[in-house]
Amino acid sequence: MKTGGSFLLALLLIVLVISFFAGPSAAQEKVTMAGMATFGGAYVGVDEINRAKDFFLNERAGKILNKPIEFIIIDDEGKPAVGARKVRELAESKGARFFDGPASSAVGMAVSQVAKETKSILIGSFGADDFTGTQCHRYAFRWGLSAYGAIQQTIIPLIKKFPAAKRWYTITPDYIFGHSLLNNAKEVFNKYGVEHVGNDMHPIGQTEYSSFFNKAMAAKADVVVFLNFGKDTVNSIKQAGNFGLAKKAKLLAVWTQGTQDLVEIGPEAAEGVYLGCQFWHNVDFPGTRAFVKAWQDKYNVPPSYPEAMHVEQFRMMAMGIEKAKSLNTDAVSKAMEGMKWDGVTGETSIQSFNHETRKNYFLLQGKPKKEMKDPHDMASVVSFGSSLKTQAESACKMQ
Amino acid sequence: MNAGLILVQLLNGITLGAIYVLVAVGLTIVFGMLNIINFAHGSLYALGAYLAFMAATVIGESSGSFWAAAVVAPVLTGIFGAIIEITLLRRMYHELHEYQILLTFGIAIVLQEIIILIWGTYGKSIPMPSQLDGVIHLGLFTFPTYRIFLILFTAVTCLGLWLMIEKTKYGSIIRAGTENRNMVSCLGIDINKVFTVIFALGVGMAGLAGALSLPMRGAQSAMGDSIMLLCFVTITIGGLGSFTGAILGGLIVGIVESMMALVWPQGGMISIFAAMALVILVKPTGLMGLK
Repeated sequence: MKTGGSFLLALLLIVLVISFFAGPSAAQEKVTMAGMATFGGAYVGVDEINRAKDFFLNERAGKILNKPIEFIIIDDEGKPAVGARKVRELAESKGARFFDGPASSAVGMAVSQVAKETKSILIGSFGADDFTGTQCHRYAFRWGLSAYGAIQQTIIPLIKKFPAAKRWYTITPDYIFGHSLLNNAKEVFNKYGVEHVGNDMHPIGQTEYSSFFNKAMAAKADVVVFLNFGKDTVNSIKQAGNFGLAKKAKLLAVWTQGTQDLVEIGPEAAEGVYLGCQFWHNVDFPGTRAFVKAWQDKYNVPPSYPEAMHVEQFRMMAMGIEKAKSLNTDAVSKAMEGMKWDGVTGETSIQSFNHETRKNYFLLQGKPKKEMKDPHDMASVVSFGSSLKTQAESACKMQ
Repeated sequence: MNAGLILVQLLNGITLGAIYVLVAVGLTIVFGMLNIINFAHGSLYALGAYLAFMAATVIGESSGSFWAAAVVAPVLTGIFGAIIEITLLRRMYHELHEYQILLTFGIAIVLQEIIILIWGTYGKSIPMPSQLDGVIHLGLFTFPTYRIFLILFTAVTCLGLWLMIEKTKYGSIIRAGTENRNMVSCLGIDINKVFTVIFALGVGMAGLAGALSLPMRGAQSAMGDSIMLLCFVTITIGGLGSFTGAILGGLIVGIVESMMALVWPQGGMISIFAAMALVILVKPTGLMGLK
């Protein structure tokens, strides 16, 4: 009996020891993160977010604060109602509280309201100024420059570079992103005394742009500015190349996806075109070099803007959680305010009063094919910098 | 707004119409002769563009790569269409239209996903063929040489197709088969083979349109969706199953879309649908339709 008692005691100890080590991991708290993308249409971005997710999970060894990361990718279908519904479902059913924002401003603005209600951190880079302006809130953060910043970093350098170019024509998608860019562009035109000789609005997914080029030619535009995004930008620049518009006017696409768009446009049509971009792989910042090298080691191609954006936004969430040492989103939001790091576009920091990120925006110019050193070396950097509204200028009243 | 701008817009409209005509003619041939509404037609147009891209890439950077691609793509798309007809559609000829629509709609979705699996979600493009790369100067305006070529090529292709159907022996077999397939079979003609050829021909036209639009617009996995919608509008305006109706409808849709860009760009699609509604109200069978 005595032996049997010792045996039972030893067994109990073993069970206790095993449950001590195994038990907590079985019930361990997870960090549930979600990335949003559109799986089809003008804003398609599913491949990019998948690659960025794999890269990020690999970089973090699948953990934040030693807690495993559960990563979910949502198809917002490019529809505000769908994006908002899916984010709400994830927040309520899975307890997800960390969201990487969508590409579309319309979706982003709808999701931002859900993030506010569910106290979820949302980091986005869509253009609408209102995201970190009139509609700002403590859980909403922006990595990419807003429409204001994109216009400041593209149109102003070109006005200075070509003072004789006085007649500017814009082609704008008819929704919140395009309207934001157009309003900012008009302010710059007024301020710098250039004439806005015409504007055409088009729906998302427009396939034919030739009519607008004829109108721009008829208006004797010196510069034609594309305020669209994604496939719309690709189609418009490609067709502008067909029409020989680049020989009659300077072309500027304010908000492109860098290499991704350039490859689709092709070097012939992209040559000489000015392109604004939130990220460019071929710049000499330590954070950019390290990121591009790690990405190329994994995927054998340089990262595009959407890939860099997703990775940086995932990293921002991870840094915020680690700095707060908590998954409480109020604490994480507070920790992210004022955060500084060496990011994928150079020195980066977050403004506390509106949660916008100070980072570089690049103005590129399409290279002639014969000057390209590799298939992705399709543009040279004309200028770069950051433009954010000051606290006095900002419409944000942080809640 | 000056006369030059209106003229260039008219030319643009005819170019757009040319693409719609090529796709819609294929769709209307299949409907008119096989009585099948092929909802996969748009995806086959996209497949044609991607096959042209693949062919041009394999051939490499030479002045002939586009021309080779423009031949290879419709042929391969047509062969693919023949396989679809033999393995799937043939079982559906005697079924209700609802089943045919479900089947072809399913094929469209599968095809679009296959395109994404093979070529990814990034769009593809090829440069303009060097012989047609350039513009024609029309006073203040320019018009791409390639678009002029497209208009002429579409006109010649449609004429050739019409002659083949209306003036050749094989064309008369096709027309007879659509009127009374049993009678044609009794004459010792393999009617299944005839139907396979018709479907391959219609689908090949979609592939050809995809290949020709590649240097102009590039290839994108979802490109079939928008063209499909416009093609249904085209053949509704022209008359379901009518060859000349598809040509007329395509040109109307292209010109309305283009001219609306001058006055109300956002209203382009609304105007096209308004034109369709008007035609249906005045002549429910379409402009050239008989039934």
